[in-house]
Amino acid sequence: MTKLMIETLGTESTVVNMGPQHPSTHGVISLRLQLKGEVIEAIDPNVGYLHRSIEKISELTQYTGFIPYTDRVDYLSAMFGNQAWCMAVEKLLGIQVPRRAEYLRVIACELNRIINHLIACGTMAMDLGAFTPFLHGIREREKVNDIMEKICGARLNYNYMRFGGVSRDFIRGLDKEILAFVDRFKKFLPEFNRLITGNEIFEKRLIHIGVISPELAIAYGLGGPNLRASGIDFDLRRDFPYSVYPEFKFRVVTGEGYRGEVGDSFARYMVRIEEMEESAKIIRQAIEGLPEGDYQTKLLRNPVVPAGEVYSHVESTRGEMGFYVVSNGTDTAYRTKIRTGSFTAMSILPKIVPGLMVADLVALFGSLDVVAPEVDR
Amino acid sequence: MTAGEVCSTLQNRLPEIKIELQRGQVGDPWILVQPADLLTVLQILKQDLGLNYLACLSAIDYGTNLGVVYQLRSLSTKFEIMVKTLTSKNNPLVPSLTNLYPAAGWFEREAYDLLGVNFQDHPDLRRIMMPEDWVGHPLRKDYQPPAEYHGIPCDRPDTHQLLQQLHITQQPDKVGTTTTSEVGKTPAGNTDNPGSKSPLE
Repeated sequence: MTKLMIETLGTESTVVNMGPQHPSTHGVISLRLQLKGEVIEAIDPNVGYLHRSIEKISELTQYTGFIPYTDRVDYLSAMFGNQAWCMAVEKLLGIQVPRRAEYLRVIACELNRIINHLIACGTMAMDLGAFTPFLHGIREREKVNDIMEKICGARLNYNYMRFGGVSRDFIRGLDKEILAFVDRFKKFLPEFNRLITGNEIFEKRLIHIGVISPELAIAYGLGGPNLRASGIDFDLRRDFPYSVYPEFKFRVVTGEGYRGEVGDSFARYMVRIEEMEESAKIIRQAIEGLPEGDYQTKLLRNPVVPAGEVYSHVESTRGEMGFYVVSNGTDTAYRTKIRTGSFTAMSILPKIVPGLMVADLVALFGSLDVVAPEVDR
Repeated sequence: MTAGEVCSTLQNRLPEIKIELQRGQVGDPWILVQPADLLTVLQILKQDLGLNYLACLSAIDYGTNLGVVYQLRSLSTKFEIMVKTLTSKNNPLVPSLTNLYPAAGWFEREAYDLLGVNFQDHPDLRRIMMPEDWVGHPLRKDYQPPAEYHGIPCDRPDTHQLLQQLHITQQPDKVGTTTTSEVGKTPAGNTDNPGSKSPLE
């Protein structure tokens, strides 16, 4: 009887909406899936729910007034939006940033990278059903947040950088506090690894899942940990040096076949774990070599920027964050285009997802570390 | 390699094509090519000069023209250049790069959605940020938002007018009473209290 039913009814594909309110999509993203049983035949990512037209706002706001908006492009790594925007305008204005300010920027950015990767690795484990690592990550993140609050007065949307420097200097004793955190953090990572990285179920959910070949990663413009996990040795901090990064020794973490193969979801996870270690190293070097001097250059509050076009980019946590700024000689930008890492990471989904199971899509999506507001801007 | 060197290399390879090196008063230079020659030029840039990574694709409204700007990068030899093409605003037609750089697929969808650039031979040119039945391209300089979208009003109250109204209706503060402007502030006599100080001081 059962056999007869299947023969007469047959099977056909169904279309399922995953999201826009799905816990694993990390924000408001809708994925339209065409399923055959549990296997995905086609996927159409539907983005735009969080489109806040930040690019349009930049055409209406003065250069200085736009700095807080750059926090909101990627709320988990707001420091990089600040830095990319400030670097673009500084390039147009021809301002030299004092060395101490550059060091302060690097410290703030690398702390931000630790914050972001803790959340990325924690939520990824949570998507796969392990709740505890997320809490451990959040606990450690709170400590960095406390430091961030002392650096710039905010815990999430920092609004720390200004054209020609940063908004304020370190308060007394903060450098020692950051060093103490870095020391503690060195012990935290092995603890986190014991907790989840070596877990067999966790590994089996990730290895050989969503493999992105190096050619594909370059073709689709992936950036940051996603690009490096595919085995490409490229980092804007080293290869297109900006700020004072050439003065620090750090390793560009390139993915290898940790347990599975190069470019699978586990490689992307491991690259993030190792990058946190490298960030801690950079912070230590920056604190130890922190020069005396100004933290800001004297500048008009609303600078008038000469006409020109510039593209400035920083190595954000999710890949390249670039600001293409067109100035027409006034105190407001004529056009700003914000290029973000999550946008290109989303665009690769239709290419690699078909053939995966729905549960594997959750693992893959978590490993790409997409943040919805950064896709839509 | 600088943009000038790339430009002269291109001009030597393609003498019949018009290639210009331009720059503003400040900032980065760019290479200007005609939309009809775009694919030929980019093919050479990608295959012979190794610019294999499309970092960014943006569109701009220049008034009478629409510009499309490509940030190209070589990951191996570590240099990048900006290539620009201009198309008329009435009939904005630019060849699609999806065959050369698959990353252009979504970037071009965004440029089409927000600025209305039509990309020839794009496999899937539909809106990405705005709803599919939206009319117009919001980042164009002459864009007028619609009055409503499916019954949702799109116009906003005039902020300046609203502020003026607030100032007019606000009563002057009376001495000795807590007014709305003081809500959330520390009472004046309490500033010596160490508990009210910021922990950062």
